[in-house]
Amino acid sequence: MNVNFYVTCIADIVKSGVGKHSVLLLEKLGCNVVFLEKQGCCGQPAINSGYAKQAIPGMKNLVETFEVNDYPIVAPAGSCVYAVKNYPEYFERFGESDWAARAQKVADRFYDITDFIVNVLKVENVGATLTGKAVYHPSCSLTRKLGIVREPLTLLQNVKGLQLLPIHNQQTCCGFGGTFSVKMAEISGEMVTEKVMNISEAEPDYLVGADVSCLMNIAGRLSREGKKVKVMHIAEVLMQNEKGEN
Amino acid sequence: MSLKTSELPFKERVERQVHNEIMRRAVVKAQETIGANRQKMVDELGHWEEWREAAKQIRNHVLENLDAYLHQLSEKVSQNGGHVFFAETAEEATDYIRKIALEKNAKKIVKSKSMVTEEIGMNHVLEAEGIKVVETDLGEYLLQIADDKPSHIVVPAIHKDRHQIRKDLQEKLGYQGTETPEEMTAFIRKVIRRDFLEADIGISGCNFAVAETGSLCLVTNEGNLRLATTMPKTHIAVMGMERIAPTFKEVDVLITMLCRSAVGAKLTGYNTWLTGPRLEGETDGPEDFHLVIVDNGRSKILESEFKEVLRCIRCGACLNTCPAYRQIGGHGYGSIYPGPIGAVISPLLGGYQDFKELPYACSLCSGCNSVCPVKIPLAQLILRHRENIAQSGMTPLTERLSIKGFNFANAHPAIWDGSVKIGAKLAGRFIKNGKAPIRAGALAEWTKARDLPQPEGESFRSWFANREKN
Amino acid sequence: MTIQNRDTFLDKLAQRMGRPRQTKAEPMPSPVNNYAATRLTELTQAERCQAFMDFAKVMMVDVAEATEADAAEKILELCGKYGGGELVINNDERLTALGITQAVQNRYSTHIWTPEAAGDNLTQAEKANIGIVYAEYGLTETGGIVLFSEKDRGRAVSLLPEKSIVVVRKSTVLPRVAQLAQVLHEKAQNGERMPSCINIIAGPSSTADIELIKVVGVHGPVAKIYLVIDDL
Repeated sequence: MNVNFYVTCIADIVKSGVGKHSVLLLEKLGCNVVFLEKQGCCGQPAINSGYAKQAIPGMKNLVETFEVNDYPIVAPAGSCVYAVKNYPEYFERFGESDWAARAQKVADRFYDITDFIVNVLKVENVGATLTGKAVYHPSCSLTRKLGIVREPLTLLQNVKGLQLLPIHNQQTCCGFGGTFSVKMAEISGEMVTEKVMNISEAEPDYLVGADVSCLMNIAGRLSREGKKVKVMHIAEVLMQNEKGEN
Repeated sequence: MSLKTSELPFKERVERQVHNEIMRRAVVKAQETIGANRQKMVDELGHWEEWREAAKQIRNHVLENLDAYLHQLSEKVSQNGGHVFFAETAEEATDYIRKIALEKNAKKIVKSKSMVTEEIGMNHVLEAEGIKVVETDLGEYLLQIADDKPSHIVVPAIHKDRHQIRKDLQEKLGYQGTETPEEMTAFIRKVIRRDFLEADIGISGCNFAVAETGSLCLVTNEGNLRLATTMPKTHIAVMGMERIAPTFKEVDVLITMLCRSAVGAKLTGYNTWLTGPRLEGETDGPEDFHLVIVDNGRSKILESEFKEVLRCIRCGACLNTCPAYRQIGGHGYGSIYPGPIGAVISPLLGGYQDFKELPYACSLCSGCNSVCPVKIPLAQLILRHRENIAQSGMTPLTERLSIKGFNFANAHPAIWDGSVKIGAKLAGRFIKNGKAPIRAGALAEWTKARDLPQPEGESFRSWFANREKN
Repeated sequence: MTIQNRDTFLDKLAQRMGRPRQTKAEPMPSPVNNYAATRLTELTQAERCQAFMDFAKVMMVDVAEATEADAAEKILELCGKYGGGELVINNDERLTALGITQAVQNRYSTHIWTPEAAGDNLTQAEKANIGIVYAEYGLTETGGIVLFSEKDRGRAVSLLPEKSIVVVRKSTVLPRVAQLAQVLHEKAQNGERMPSCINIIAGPSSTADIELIKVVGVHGPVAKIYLVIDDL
């Protein structure tokens, strides 16, 4: 199956490993991965700061980029997928009905990677091995906004040797919120500190998530506190085998 | 306008609140306790999502027929022997209430908890006439004697601990007992009892007004509302114009959702349904009843893109879920309406000038959306405020410029491609051990509480392109 | 009585709503679901009553049972248990029919709430240790009871005294508020005026305003007692 990969700007710039492992994972599951270089950012930094109107040209670029084929588009971050799913509404509101229709077609092809693997590729066990205790962080975008709750858990529960530990207030936001993390740094800082406190209580080896933005936030605080928890994107976990990384 | 609870600028308020250990412990406790109780009640009721749809349907129907229901309500109240005053502005409402108080030669007024009366600044207006206004809801009473402001719409004094409360009671009322909640409550019961018996007027809010019968539904626990509307000869009820239910059947659905969401109980101790002044031959209850219906910006909201927020039944579940509220408490928001609901309605009722930061004090996590009993899309409305603020030039110039630059690059693939590759290289070169050589702007803010991400030195797209070649 | 400013207010409102002003609402759309009306209706009356009493106990109500025959005896037991003293009771023929009014009058200093007593009513209610009322209905879902005010049934009788005793018949226990709402709706449709005060009471007064710790007995009664009459 041909699949477009949507890397997300965070993964593209500072966490290419997440992108790399996502691509390798999709290929391992039999996909032919296409990376359309014209892709840019989903526009969240502008949109979520109230500049959706000014972000329209960027949104158009993204829509156009993915119109060159009709393959599904897979991303390693729920927040970006959610942002694109809202494009039709923004185009409509700013009087661009034609673009709204075009955006709808593209948005309908957008998938978070766990959703894609479980519901499109129909795979629940990718044959990975990772021994240790892990806490899974369910990102707000994935769970509350996209409704993708059980897919990441199913994939992780089938990882040989991996023990998932519950934590207090597991569903609570990690405090990233995009520009919120720097515009409201005090509040964001308190939120991520509390999240790390709850994670640490479980004493896991790993912190796993499906949203690279949340992971970047939580990892930043874990590092600041000198905690030895290894932060991994679910794609990285699913590429692990008995000998270590694939 | 009396939404503001602080004169301090936002950042300073947040700084103070984040360091207020007592408040933070109290808010965490409130969220955990009420949250757990709410969940028990949600599970016990069953079919929660369907009940939410039903409540949303009722509220939407009311908003779509608001003029008709207000007409019907006023007809009924009048037929029952009550007076109705329609107040477009806060001033009109308080003017009317003052007029009645002066007509009655009132010396003392007992009040039960009412957010809308705080919103219109009613107490000040009456006190300026030398009338004593006693807040009889325990939490509000504690705030009143300490000249403090509410920090939560359901449990307003949650930010105070028993030591503080005992100190206030001792200083203001000469209380000599211990600091157990039981003893302090018993003391306050005795003190306020006299006020109930002496008061000339009782003033209440209104959870829901029933259009079909001209009744008011009040949802309480303490008995103060019952006393305030049983003893004094005059009862004035103040309501936000949108707080209507067509019949008692809809009230049933709404109070079911309200009590479970707000305090994690099937119903509160008292649900008091009042209809007009006392009947012929009755010897308690008010002889004179006035209903003040307040607009104060609500009709403007109804006309706007924010109209869905008028479904709100003031349960506070959004506050009890919000992770930002958890860190800064109600006083951090600086409004009598804090938390997610406050982030939406404080700018609408109180203006962007005073409340423009509130829509940003939110990570858009949408926890509020998921607990709202009437399915208000709070996170989306908060984002809408950001749009309004950004589009009207209220944001800093530096922000607008950097967003402009970002959008430009993002709309031009060649520029974006180059920026990403360079960005990745720079990040790899300069970010060491989670720190960057520059500590300015966004970098400085991020690194207050966190390290920067450990970069991989090469952009994804470079890696992908290279392996394509090989 | 007077209505002020209605026309300017509602005209402006209708304008903002983008249509001519309406004085009659559109009919309610058919409800998306009917759980409110059906919940707990599958229980038999006996089951309803048991659940009613069980839940009332959870809500910190002291629940005592009696038959019609021994109601008078039981009420005296309860009054004794709660310190006797001065009583206030509604002039309710349904209490008289159970022999309750006479029984308490004979044993205790009892004020009967009547319109003729006028100002005395409140004074006596405030002095009273115990107030006795008859409930229109019980509510299974919450263990609550429903009181209607009337000239012979003061609001204050279940409010001012420290202890509040409510006499309620098992045959009047409804599943939940929805059924009460239906009764009131029918009254309204018949053009009847509502009682000036309807109280749905589910326990003694309480607050959690101090540190979220529940304290029982704030401004309303400190103790709530049901005398449940088994008339099934």
